[in-house]
Amino acid sequence: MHESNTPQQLGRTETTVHDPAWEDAFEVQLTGEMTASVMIYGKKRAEWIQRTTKRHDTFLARELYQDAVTDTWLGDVTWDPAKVPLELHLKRTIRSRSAARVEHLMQFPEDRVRTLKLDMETKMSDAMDTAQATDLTSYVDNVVAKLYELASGDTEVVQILDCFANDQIDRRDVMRATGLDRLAYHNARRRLVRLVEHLPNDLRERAIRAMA
Amino acid sequence: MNEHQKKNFRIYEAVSHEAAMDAADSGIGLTDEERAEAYRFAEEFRTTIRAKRRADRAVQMKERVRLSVLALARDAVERWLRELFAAYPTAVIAHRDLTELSDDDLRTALEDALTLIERMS
Repeated sequence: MHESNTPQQLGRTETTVHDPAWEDAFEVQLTGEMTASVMIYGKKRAEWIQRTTKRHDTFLARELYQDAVTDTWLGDVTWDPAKVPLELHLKRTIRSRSAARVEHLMQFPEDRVRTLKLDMETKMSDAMDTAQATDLTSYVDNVVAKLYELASGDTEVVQILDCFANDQIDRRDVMRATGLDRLAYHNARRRLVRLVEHLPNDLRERAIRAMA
Repeated sequence: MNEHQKKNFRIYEAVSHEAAMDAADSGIGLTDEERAEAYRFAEEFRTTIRAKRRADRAVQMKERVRLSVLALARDAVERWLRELFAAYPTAVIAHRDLTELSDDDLRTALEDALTLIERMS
């Protein structure tokens, strides 16, 4: 995969028309620190994709965060500065795109097999696992079952997992559904993230690298 | 995927998201090289944005500033503006400090001042 959407490609922006206030907000918020934070998020999501699908892609993290920035500037992704900070918008864009990739490969594992065969960088050991390509869903099922098992004594964490299952992923939605206040939600969320570290060894190594 | 598998995927994905947000919030997870790359990317992007916006402003300026003003050199524009300031001391004219304005902004200021005076008369 080639590096894409570098700033040099902004030549395309000649046809993009933004409100000057929108451009001001974009320029002011696109700081180095914010970009680093988005890059960390993108890197973690890239690792999640790669560990889940076993597809190696050196440029994936860079592609995720740079595409999110560039596509927002170009208007391919809509950003409303009045509603959400640029940083959160970019992370949401990366989230949506990375989730779509994994979900697609789970629904159409044959695409993953094809990719594995074409990807010269993929190690032979990964290629040997092709027979297990259709097993992604059962891997995910096992991880989730174990997360529930580990969280069994923690009502608040179980509540959050249930919310996720019902597509209630926004903090406010989860708090509304569970009745948790901000502090309780924050603490439960931290405990949930730490649960990954307590998965059994066979699931743990892959899940930690995928999620953490 | 059946409904049960879809639910499990949503959980699996959401936990990954929370872990990634956690890492981003803590600021941990980049090598020095990657962090420098992020800063460089932002700086280069902002530089390109600023250049694009300067070009936009120049186009807008040429579209709305009369040709007789566009043709003037900087010192002529400054001289005309100072005459206007003297002639209309109570008029609300932005940018009375001319030294900090670029040539283009100076011409735009003169155009604005002339337009304002034309409306007042």
